[in-house]
Amino acid sequence: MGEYVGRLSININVSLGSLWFYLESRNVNKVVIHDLKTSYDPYYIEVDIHTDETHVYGEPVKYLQAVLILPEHMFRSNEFVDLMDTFSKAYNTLHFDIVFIISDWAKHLQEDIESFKDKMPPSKAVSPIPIEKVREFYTAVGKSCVKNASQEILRNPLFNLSLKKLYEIVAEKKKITAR
Amino acid sequence: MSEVIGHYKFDVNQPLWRLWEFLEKHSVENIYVEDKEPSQYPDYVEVIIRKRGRSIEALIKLPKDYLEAYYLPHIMRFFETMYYYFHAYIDDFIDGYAEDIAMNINKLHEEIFSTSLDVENLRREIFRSIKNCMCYHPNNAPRKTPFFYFFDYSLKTLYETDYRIIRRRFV
Repeated sequence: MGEYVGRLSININVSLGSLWFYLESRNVNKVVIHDLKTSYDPYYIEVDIHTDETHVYGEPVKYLQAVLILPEHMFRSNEFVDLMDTFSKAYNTLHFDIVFIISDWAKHLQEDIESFKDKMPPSKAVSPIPIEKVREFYTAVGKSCVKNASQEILRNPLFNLSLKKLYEIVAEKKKITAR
Repeated sequence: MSEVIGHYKFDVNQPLWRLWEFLEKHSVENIYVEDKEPSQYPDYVEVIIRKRGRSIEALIKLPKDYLEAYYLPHIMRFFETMYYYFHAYIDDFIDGYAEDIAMNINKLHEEIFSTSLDVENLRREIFRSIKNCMCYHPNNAPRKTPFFYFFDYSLKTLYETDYRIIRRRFV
Protein backbone atom coordinates (compact mmCIF):
# COMPACT_ATOMS: atom_id res chain seq x y z
CA MET A 1 0.00 0.00 0.00
CA GLY A 2 1.29 3.46 -0.89
CA GLU A 3 1.15 6.80 0.81
CA TYR A 4 -1.88 7.71 2.95
CA VAL A 5 -3.78 10.67 1.50
CA GLY A 6 -6.81 11.15 3.72
CA ARG A 7 -10.09 9.87 5.10
CA LEU A 8 -13.67 10.77 4.32
CA SER A 9 -16.83 9.84 6.17
CA ILE A 10 -19.90 9.27 4.05
CA ASN A 11 -23.33 9.25 5.69
CA ILE A 12 -25.36 6.19 4.64
CA ASN A 13 -28.23 8.51 3.68
CA VAL A 14 -26.29 9.90 0.71
CA SER A 15 -27.12 8.55 -2.71
CA LEU A 16 -25.02 6.08 -4.65
CA GLY A 17 -24.55 8.80 -7.27
CA SER A 18 -23.17 11.18 -4.62
CA LEU A 19 -20.69 8.53 -3.50
CA TRP A 20 -19.52 8.16 -7.13
CA PHE A 21 -19.28 11.93 -7.40
CA TYR A 22 -17.33 12.27 -4.09
CA LEU A 23 -14.79 9.73 -5.30
CA GLU A 24 -14.51 11.36 -8.70
CA SER A 25 -14.04 14.85 -7.26
CA ARG A 26 -11.11 13.55 -5.24
CA ASN A 27 -9.56 12.01 -8.37
CA VAL A 28 -9.92 8.47 -7.06
CA ASN A 29 -9.04 5.93 -9.78
CA LYS A 30 -9.91 2.72 -7.99
CA VAL A 31 -12.40 1.70 -5.30
CA VAL A 32 -12.25 -1.46 -3.19
CA ILE A 33 -14.34 -2.70 -0.30
CA HIS A 34 -12.41 -3.51 2.87
CA ASP A 35 -12.96 -7.22 3.53
CA LEU A 36 -11.89 -7.29 7.20
CA LYS A 37 -12.70 -4.02 8.93
CA THR A 38 -16.00 -2.28 9.76
CA SER A 39 -16.57 1.41 10.44
CA TYR A 40 -16.95 2.80 13.98
CA ASP A 41 -20.22 4.60 13.35
CA PRO A 42 -23.17 2.53 12.01
CA TYR A 43 -24.44 5.59 10.10
CA TYR A 44 -21.21 6.29 8.24
CA ILE A 45 -19.02 4.59 5.66
CA GLU A 46 -15.35 5.43 6.11
CA VAL A 47 -13.33 6.03 2.97
CA ASP A 48 -9.55 5.69 3.27
CA ILE A 49 -7.68 7.19 0.34
CA HIS A 50 -4.09 6.28 -0.45
CA THR A 51 -1.74 6.14 -3.41
CA ASP A 52 -0.82 2.87 -5.08
CA GLU A 53 1.23 1.82 -8.08
CA THR A 54 0.51 -0.41 -11.04
CA HIS A 55 2.19 -1.21 -14.34
CA VAL A 56 0.56 -0.14 -17.58
CA TYR A 57 2.34 -1.67 -20.57
CA GLY A 58 5.45 -2.16 -18.49
CA GLU A 59 5.59 1.38 -17.12
CA PRO A 60 4.95 2.13 -13.43
CA VAL A 61 1.94 4.38 -12.95
CA LYS A 62 0.77 5.90 -9.65
CA TYR A 63 -2.96 6.09 -8.92
CA LEU A 64 -5.34 6.89 -6.07
CA GLN A 65 -7.21 4.09 -4.36
CA ALA A 66 -10.17 4.44 -1.98
CA VAL A 67 -10.98 1.69 0.50
CA LEU A 68 -14.61 1.68 1.60
CA ILE A 69 -15.06 0.54 5.21
CA LEU A 70 -18.72 -0.39 5.69
CA PRO A 71 -20.74 -0.26 8.93
CA GLU A 72 -21.04 -3.68 10.50
CA HIS A 73 -24.66 -4.42 9.47
CA MET A 74 -23.86 -3.61 5.83
CA PHE A 75 -20.60 -5.56 6.00
CA ARG A 76 -22.49 -8.66 7.22
CA SER A 77 -24.84 -8.57 4.22
CA ASN A 78 -23.22 -10.54 1.38
CA GLU A 79 -25.83 -9.16 -0.99
CA PHE A 80 -24.98 -5.55 -0.15
CA VAL A 81 -21.24 -6.21 -0.42
CA ASP A 82 -21.83 -7.83 -3.84
CA LEU A 83 -23.80 -4.76 -4.87
CA MET A 84 -20.97 -2.44 -3.81
CA ASP A 85 -18.50 -4.67 -5.65
CA THR A 86 -20.49 -4.27 -8.86
CA PHE A 87 -20.60 -0.52 -8.24
CA SER A 88 -16.83 -0.43 -7.83
CA LYS A 89 -16.27 -2.51 -10.99
CA ALA A 90 -18.21 0.02 -13.06
CA TYR A 91 -16.39 2.93 -11.38
CA ASN A 92 -12.98 1.32 -11.81
CA THR A 93 -13.43 0.48 -15.49
CA LEU A 94 -14.15 4.11 -16.25
CA HIS A 95 -11.67 5.79 -13.89
CA PHE A 96 -8.84 3.31 -13.98
CA ASP A 97 -8.88 1.25 -17.19
CA ILE A 98 -10.07 3.95 -19.55
CA VAL A 99 -7.99 6.73 -18.00
CA PHE A 100 -4.81 4.67 -18.32
CA ILE A 101 -5.68 3.55 -21.84
CA ILE A 102 -6.07 7.20 -22.86
CA SER A 103 -2.78 8.01 -21.19
CA ASP A 104 -1.08 5.12 -23.02
CA TRP A 105 -2.61 6.32 -26.25
CA ALA A 106 -1.22 9.82 -25.63
CA LYS A 107 2.20 8.21 -25.19
CA HIS A 108 1.96 6.50 -28.60
CA LEU A 109 0.81 9.75 -30.10
CA GLN A 110 3.72 11.55 -28.49
CA GLU A 111 6.22 9.00 -29.86
CA ASP A 112 4.81 9.29 -33.36
CA ILE A 113 4.88 13.07 -33.28
CA GLU A 114 8.49 12.83 -32.12
CA SER A 115 9.40 10.51 -34.98
CA PHE A 116 7.68 12.70 -37.56
CA LYS A 117 9.15 15.95 -36.26
CA ASP A 118 12.36 15.66 -38.28
CA LYS A 119 10.44 14.85 -41.43
CA MET A 120 8.39 18.04 -41.32
CA PRO A 121 9.44 21.13 -43.29
CA PRO A 122 11.34 23.66 -41.15
CA SER A 123 8.84 26.41 -41.91
CA LYS A 124 6.52 28.58 -39.88
CA ALA A 125 3.55 26.47 -40.97
CA VAL A 126 4.86 23.35 -39.28
CA SER A 127 7.15 24.61 -36.53
CA PRO A 128 7.61 21.98 -33.80
CA ILE A 129 6.00 22.30 -30.36
CA PRO A 130 7.15 20.92 -27.01
CA ILE A 131 6.17 17.26 -27.00
CA GLU A 132 5.23 17.21 -23.31
CA LYS A 133 2.39 19.62 -24.18
CA VAL A 134 0.76 16.86 -26.23
CA ARG A 135 0.68 14.47 -23.31
CA GLU A 136 -0.51 17.15 -20.91
CA PHE A 137 -3.25 18.07 -23.34
CA TYR A 138 -4.51 14.51 -23.73
CA THR A 139 -4.38 13.75 -20.02
CA ALA A 140 -6.74 16.68 -19.54
CA VAL A 141 -8.88 15.53 -22.48
CA GLY A 142 -9.02 12.01 -20.97
CA LYS A 143 -10.27 13.39 -17.68
CA SER A 144 -12.98 15.46 -19.31
CA CYS A 145 -14.07 12.44 -21.40
CA VAL A 146 -14.45 10.36 -18.25
CA LYS A 147 -16.45 13.13 -16.61
CA ASN A 148 -18.73 13.20 -19.66
CA ALA A 149 -19.32 9.46 -19.53
CA SER A 150 -19.98 9.69 -15.77
CA GLN A 151 -22.80 12.15 -16.38
CA GLU A 152 -24.32 9.67 -18.80
CA ILE A 153 -24.06 6.81 -16.29
CA LEU A 154 -25.34 8.78 -13.30
CA ARG A 155 -28.55 9.57 -15.18
CA ASN A 156 -29.75 6.10 -14.27
CA PRO A 157 -32.35 6.29 -11.43
CA LEU A 158 -30.56 3.66 -9.35
CA PHE A 159 -27.93 6.28 -8.52
CA ASN A 160 -30.61 8.38 -6.80
CA LEU A 161 -31.13 5.72 -4.15
CA SER A 162 -29.32 6.13 -0.85
CA LEU A 163 -26.86 3.52 0.42
CA LYS A 164 -29.25 2.89 3.30
CA LYS A 165 -32.15 2.31 0.90
CA LEU A 166 -30.04 -0.04 -1.22
CA TYR A 167 -29.17 -2.03 1.88
CA GLU A 168 -32.83 -2.23 2.86
CA ILE A 169 -33.89 -3.36 -0.62
CA VAL A 170 -31.39 -6.22 -0.74
CA ALA A 171 -32.14 -7.19 2.88
CA GLU A 172 -35.86 -7.28 2.11
CA LYS A 173 -35.26 -9.34 -1.02
CA LYS A 174 -33.24 -11.80 1.00
CA LYS A 175 -36.05 -12.10 3.52
CA ILE A 176 -38.60 -12.80 0.77
CA THR A 177 -36.36 -15.45 -0.79
CA ALA A 178 -35.79 -17.09 2.59
CA ARG A 179 -39.55 -17.34 3.17
CA MET B 1 -12.49 -8.45 -50.27
CA SER B 2 -13.47 -4.81 -50.38
CA GLU B 3 -16.28 -3.04 -52.14
CA VAL B 4 -15.92 0.53 -53.43
CA ILE B 5 -18.78 2.62 -52.04
CA GLY B 6 -17.67 6.08 -53.13
CA HIS B 7 -15.15 7.85 -55.34
CA TYR B 8 -14.57 11.55 -54.63
CA LYS B 9 -12.39 14.48 -55.67
CA PHE B 10 -10.99 16.70 -52.93
CA ASP B 11 -9.76 20.18 -53.87
CA VAL B 12 -6.12 20.78 -52.88
CA ASN B 13 -7.00 24.40 -51.97
CA GLN B 14 -9.11 23.21 -49.04
CA PRO B 15 -7.44 22.97 -45.64
CA LEU B 16 -6.28 19.52 -44.66
CA TRP B 17 -8.87 19.63 -41.86
CA ARG B 18 -11.66 19.60 -44.38
CA LEU B 19 -10.31 16.30 -45.64
CA TRP B 20 -10.29 14.94 -42.05
CA GLU B 21 -13.91 16.08 -41.59
CA PHE B 22 -14.91 14.73 -44.97
CA LEU B 23 -13.57 11.30 -43.99
CA GLU B 24 -15.38 11.44 -40.65
CA LYS B 25 -18.63 12.37 -42.37
CA HIS B 26 -18.33 9.18 -44.40
CA SER B 27 -17.70 7.16 -41.21
CA VAL B 28 -14.21 6.25 -42.38
CA GLU B 29 -12.24 4.48 -39.65
CA ASN B 30 -8.95 3.84 -41.40
CA ILE B 31 -7.14 5.67 -44.18
CA TYR B 32 -4.31 4.66 -46.48
CA VAL B 33 -2.29 7.22 -48.38
CA GLU B 34 -1.19 5.70 -51.67
CA ASP B 35 2.57 6.13 -52.06
CA LYS B 36 3.00 4.98 -55.68
CA GLU B 37 -0.02 5.62 -57.83
CA PRO B 38 -0.92 9.34 -58.17
CA SER B 39 -4.34 10.93 -58.47
CA GLN B 40 -5.66 11.21 -62.02
CA TYR B 41 -6.26 14.97 -61.47
CA PRO B 42 -3.49 17.57 -61.02
CA ASP B 43 -5.48 19.77 -58.58
CA TYR B 44 -7.53 17.22 -56.74
CA VAL B 45 -6.86 14.47 -54.29
CA GLU B 46 -8.73 11.28 -55.12
CA VAL B 47 -10.55 9.66 -52.23
CA ILE B 48 -11.78 6.13 -52.78
CA ILE B 49 -14.01 4.89 -49.98
CA ARG B 50 -14.25 1.14 -49.55
CA LYS B 51 -16.10 -1.21 -47.29
CA ARG B 52 -14.11 -4.09 -45.90
CA GLY B 53 -16.22 -6.38 -43.75
CA ARG B 54 -17.90 -4.09 -41.22
CA SER B 55 -15.29 -1.36 -41.41
CA ILE B 56 -15.01 1.54 -43.83
CA GLU B 57 -11.63 2.62 -45.12
CA ALA B 58 -10.42 5.27 -47.56
CA LEU B 59 -7.61 5.21 -50.07
CA ILE B 60 -6.13 8.66 -50.69
CA LYS B 61 -4.25 9.45 -53.87
CA LEU B 62 -2.21 12.66 -54.14
CA PRO B 63 -1.58 14.59 -57.36
CA LYS B 64 1.61 13.50 -59.10
CA ASP B 65 3.69 16.60 -58.17
CA TYR B 66 2.59 16.35 -54.55
CA LEU B 67 3.50 12.70 -54.40
CA GLU B 68 6.99 13.53 -55.61
CA ALA B 69 7.49 16.42 -53.16
CA TYR B 70 10.02 16.11 -50.38
CA TYR B 71 8.06 16.77 -47.20
CA LEU B 72 4.44 16.42 -48.25
CA PRO B 73 4.30 12.59 -48.35
CA HIS B 74 5.63 12.61 -44.76
CA ILE B 75 2.93 15.06 -43.72
CA MET B 76 0.33 12.79 -45.29
CA ARG B 77 1.81 9.76 -43.53
CA PHE B 78 1.50 11.72 -40.28
CA PHE B 79 -2.09 12.59 -41.17
CA GLU B 80 -2.77 8.89 -41.80
CA THR B 81 -1.26 7.84 -38.44
CA MET B 82 -3.15 10.49 -36.48
CA TYR B 83 -6.43 9.62 -38.15
CA TYR B 84 -5.88 6.00 -37.17
CA TYR B 85 -5.24 6.93 -33.52
CA PHE B 86 -8.35 9.06 -33.29
CA HIS B 87 -10.57 6.47 -34.88
CA ALA B 88 -9.78 2.75 -35.18
CA TYR B 89 -7.21 2.52 -32.36
CA ILE B 90 -9.08 4.35 -29.62
CA ASP B 91 -12.46 2.90 -30.71
CA ASP B 92 -11.26 -0.65 -30.18
CA PHE B 93 -10.27 0.03 -26.59
CA ILE B 94 -13.11 2.26 -25.49
CA ASP B 95 -15.86 0.10 -26.94
CA GLY B 96 -14.79 -2.99 -24.97
CA TYR B 97 -14.63 -1.03 -21.72
CA ALA B 98 -17.95 0.73 -22.41
CA GLU B 99 -19.53 -2.72 -22.72
CA ASP B 100 -18.08 -3.82 -19.35
CA ILE B 101 -19.40 -0.68 -17.65
CA ALA B 102 -22.86 -1.08 -19.21
CA MET B 103 -23.03 -4.72 -18.09
CA ASN B 104 -22.13 -3.83 -14.51
CA ILE B 105 -24.65 -0.98 -14.36
CA ASN B 106 -27.27 -3.40 -15.68
CA LYS B 107 -26.33 -5.95 -13.03
CA LEU B 108 -26.87 -3.29 -10.34
CA HIS B 109 -30.18 -2.33 -11.92
CA GLU B 110 -31.38 -5.93 -12.00
CA GLU B 111 -30.43 -6.42 -8.35
CA ILE B 112 -32.30 -3.33 -7.23
CA PHE B 113 -35.28 -3.01 -9.55
CA SER B 114 -35.50 -6.60 -10.83
CA THR B 115 -35.69 -5.28 -14.39
CA SER B 116 -33.06 -5.09 -17.12
CA LEU B 117 -31.72 -2.03 -18.86
CA ASP B 118 -31.11 -1.68 -22.58
CA VAL B 119 -27.42 -2.64 -22.23
CA GLU B 120 -26.64 -2.12 -25.90
CA ASN B 121 -28.01 1.42 -25.80
CA LEU B 122 -26.13 2.25 -22.58
CA ARG B 123 -22.88 0.86 -24.09
CA ARG B 124 -23.41 3.04 -27.17
CA GLU B 125 -24.12 6.13 -25.03
CA ILE B 126 -21.00 5.64 -22.87
CA PHE B 127 -18.89 5.04 -25.96
CA ARG B 128 -20.37 8.07 -27.72
CA SER B 129 -19.88 10.39 -24.73
CA ILE B 130 -16.17 9.50 -24.55
CA LYS B 131 -15.60 9.51 -28.30
CA ASN B 132 -17.46 12.78 -28.89
CA CYS B 133 -15.59 14.47 -26.08
CA MET B 134 -12.25 13.27 -27.41
CA CYS B 135 -12.67 13.77 -31.15
CA TYR B 136 -15.40 16.31 -31.75
CA HIS B 137 -15.60 18.56 -28.69
CA PRO B 138 -14.60 22.11 -29.73
CA ASN B 139 -11.98 22.36 -26.97
CA ASN B 140 -10.54 18.89 -27.43
CA ALA B 141 -10.82 18.19 -31.14
CA PRO B 142 -7.55 17.08 -32.71
CA ARG B 143 -7.09 20.42 -34.47
CA LYS B 144 -6.81 22.12 -31.06
CA THR B 145 -3.89 19.91 -30.16
CA PRO B 146 -0.50 21.59 -30.27
CA PHE B 147 1.38 20.57 -33.43
CA PHE B 148 -1.72 19.54 -35.37
CA TYR B 149 -2.40 23.13 -36.29
CA PHE B 150 -0.63 22.78 -39.61
CA PHE B 151 -3.70 20.81 -40.73
CA ASP B 152 -5.25 24.27 -41.07
CA TYR B 153 -3.13 24.76 -44.18
CA SER B 154 -4.25 23.52 -47.56
CA LEU B 155 -2.34 20.78 -49.34
CA LYS B 156 -1.45 23.35 -51.97
CA THR B 157 0.10 25.71 -49.38
CA LEU B 158 2.00 22.84 -47.84
CA TYR B 159 3.19 21.76 -51.28
CA GLU B 160 4.33 25.30 -52.12
CA THR B 161 6.12 25.57 -48.76
CA ASP B 162 7.77 22.29 -49.55
CA TYR B 163 8.82 23.56 -52.98
CA ARG B 164 10.21 26.88 -51.60
CA ILE B 165 12.28 25.09 -48.96
CA ILE B 166 13.73 22.63 -51.42
CA ARG B 167 14.54 25.42 -53.89
CA ARG B 168 16.24 27.46 -51.15
CA ARG B 169 18.19 24.46 -50.06
CA PHE B 170 19.28 22.99 -53.38
CA VAL B 171 19.16 25.72 -56.01
